[in-house]
Amino acid sequence: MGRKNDRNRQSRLQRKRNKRAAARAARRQTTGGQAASPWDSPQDAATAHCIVLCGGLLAGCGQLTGEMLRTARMVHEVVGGILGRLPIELNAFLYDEREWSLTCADLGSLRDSFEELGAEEVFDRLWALALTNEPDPTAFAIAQEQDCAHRAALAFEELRVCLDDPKIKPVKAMRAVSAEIEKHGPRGTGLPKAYASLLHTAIAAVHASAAEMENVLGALAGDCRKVFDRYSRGQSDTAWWQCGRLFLTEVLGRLQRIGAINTTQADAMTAYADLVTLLLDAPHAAVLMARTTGSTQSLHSVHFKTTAVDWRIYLEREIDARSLTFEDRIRYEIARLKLLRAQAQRRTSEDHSEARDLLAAFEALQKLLAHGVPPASREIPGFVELPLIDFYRETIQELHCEGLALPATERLLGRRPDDFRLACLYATGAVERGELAKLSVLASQAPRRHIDPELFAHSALTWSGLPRGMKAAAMIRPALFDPLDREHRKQCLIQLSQHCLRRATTVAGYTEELRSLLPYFERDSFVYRDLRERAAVESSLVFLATMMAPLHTLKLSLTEDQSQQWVSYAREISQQSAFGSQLALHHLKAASRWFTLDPGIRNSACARLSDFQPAAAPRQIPPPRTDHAHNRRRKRRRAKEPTDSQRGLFDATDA
Amino acid sequence: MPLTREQALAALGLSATPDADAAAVQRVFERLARRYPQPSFPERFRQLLEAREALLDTGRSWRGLVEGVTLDLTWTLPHVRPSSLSAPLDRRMSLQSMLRAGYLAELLAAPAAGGLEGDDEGDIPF
Repeated sequence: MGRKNDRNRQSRLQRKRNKRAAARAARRQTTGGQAASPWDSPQDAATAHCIVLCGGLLAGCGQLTGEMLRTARMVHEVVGGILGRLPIELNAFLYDEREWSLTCADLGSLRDSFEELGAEEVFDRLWALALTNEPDPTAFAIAQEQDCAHRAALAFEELRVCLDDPKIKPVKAMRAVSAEIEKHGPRGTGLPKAYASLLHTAIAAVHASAAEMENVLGALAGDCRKVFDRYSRGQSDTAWWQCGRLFLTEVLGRLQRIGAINTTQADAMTAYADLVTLLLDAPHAAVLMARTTGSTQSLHSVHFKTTAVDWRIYLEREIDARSLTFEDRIRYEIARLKLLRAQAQRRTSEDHSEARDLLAAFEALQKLLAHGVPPASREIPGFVELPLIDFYRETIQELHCEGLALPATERLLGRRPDDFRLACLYATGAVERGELAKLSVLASQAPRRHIDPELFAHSALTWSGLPRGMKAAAMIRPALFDPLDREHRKQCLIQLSQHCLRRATTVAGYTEELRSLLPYFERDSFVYRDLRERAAVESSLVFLATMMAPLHTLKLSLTEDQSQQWVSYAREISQQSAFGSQLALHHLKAASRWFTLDPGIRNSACARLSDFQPAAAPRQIPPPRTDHAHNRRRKRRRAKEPTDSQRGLFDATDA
Repeated sequence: MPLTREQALAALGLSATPDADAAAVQRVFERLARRYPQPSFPERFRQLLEAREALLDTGRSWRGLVEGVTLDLTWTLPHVRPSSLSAPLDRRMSLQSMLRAGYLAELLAAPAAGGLEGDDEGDIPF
């Protein structure tokens, strides 16, 4: 109950609290200083739990799921009766759109329990809900304790009565709505006036004659658009705004029922679509448009990134998954997986509850695909298996939940032991959970399919930062890195080097980052050998070798060609990031004792140090991209030019 | 008329391997296409082409379901209830809907777990 504008109500509540505190103090004196606690007995504790759960539900703690739902069921068993039912009932009312069935007679005896724990406001809300079940329609209107939601519901309900009877003037209800707007809305704007105008248009629309009907929808859509465009961002978290939205939805429904929506008229349909989009959430709007127009276009390509929560709740609430055909069930589970992923991507907290839900959904889908596939659909598991593993790999990497996902990864790896990507995720998960013994699984079969150097680099740097990371790296290397062919090992080193450059901000920090490459870039690395033997080496590896040389106390002397490669790569990274520029200038201005460039090339580069400044608007070095389109592009390019000696530092990420 | 999967598999001689993946289908298609080139066997070649399309397109649409950046939810339409717009609400349901909307709206503005305030010692911190 975030808003406390009603001073009188607050004063009343404060007086009650003071009275209760005094009563507690008196009790303390009679019990020799021992305070009565709500946790004195299991029954009291369970009662307090019920009230806390109700308070949490009404205070923004979100839907009761998982552990919280189990707690609610447990306290229901202990407390029993109406009080025990309350959290579950309230949860279903708020989040499953169930009816509220409890009456004032049911709740009357519970008031003291709530007041004893200082939860009067929670009780007042439950009481307001119970008042809606009273046979006397005035009971809701004359209730004493009315908060914003109560007042707004009352005002818009009175407006709804005006929709039924054109003779009733909406003066009192309009005044009540204006009062709510003034309490919560921005001061000194035209919102009260604009909203009143919108409400008048809405009421007039319902009562319009057949002749006027053609223009009614357009006018309503126009007014609605004006108010929503300007104020919805600031007002959508107020009760009056949401009650008003429901009122306007009711108006739209009435217009539809009286046949004011002419689906053959382009203008009418445009206005209708506009209103539907403004007033309904994305899933309801898309389904309604599909039903009204008879075309499934609105459901064909749904952009769900920003509306994933709405869509997931809608699908879970509307569709009984058990009754679906096998193919629709798979479609349902895939949609749910994608929605859960989008939802998890938008979370900023460290809480992994979304990741847990996602993993559970993934495992459920895997079970469906493994068992009981009807003969007519037997090809489907084969079609979706690889894309699902791609999806899994990207999601786990993105959400950084390799440890949490270890059991699921283990099962997948058991079925596909040759999959390099799964092996990387598995290794990271095992190291994250400190279960290094599990790494022996990787030794039994070297994974050789779906080699992903970017994922390897990401994983290697993750486990190098974990406790016992270097030991783990030494254990993983023989299973994951050594069996790779030379080209893939090169790619892995290039990716590792790029990650180090992205993570470092200072030259000293960069050296520290490079230490995590030591298990893969050893003193007898093929890169050093190639340089010595003057074989063709990628520019990025020439540069990396010179940076690694101090860690191996090796001295490198680059040929003219190799020096040219070093300089061109240094120029490239300079233009791409401020740190790249800092690193290049550091090594150009003061010659390193660990490597020497060809004097002619070096002098030429030093004469043009301005080339090593970052570009005017340096590109933010993006995090590694993991989308499918990117992977496809990367794979294509790799196939086309596998030994491009001038590959840019961020080619793989900036493509 | 589009081929069924069984017909398409038979056309490519893959009836014995009904779980053939896209790569296998493509491989067999290429082998048969070399054996029955279009200029000499136009009808046979057309059948091969149709069979390949039938097999690969189904796979493509399923893969697209997982890989796509959008969702195709057309399949949901027969399974969802009619919209709430189609049925008028009575006073009780209307009030409950508005209270629900009002409470949920304010939850968006309230900081999690801190919306309902507590007071002095001994109270549950709402």
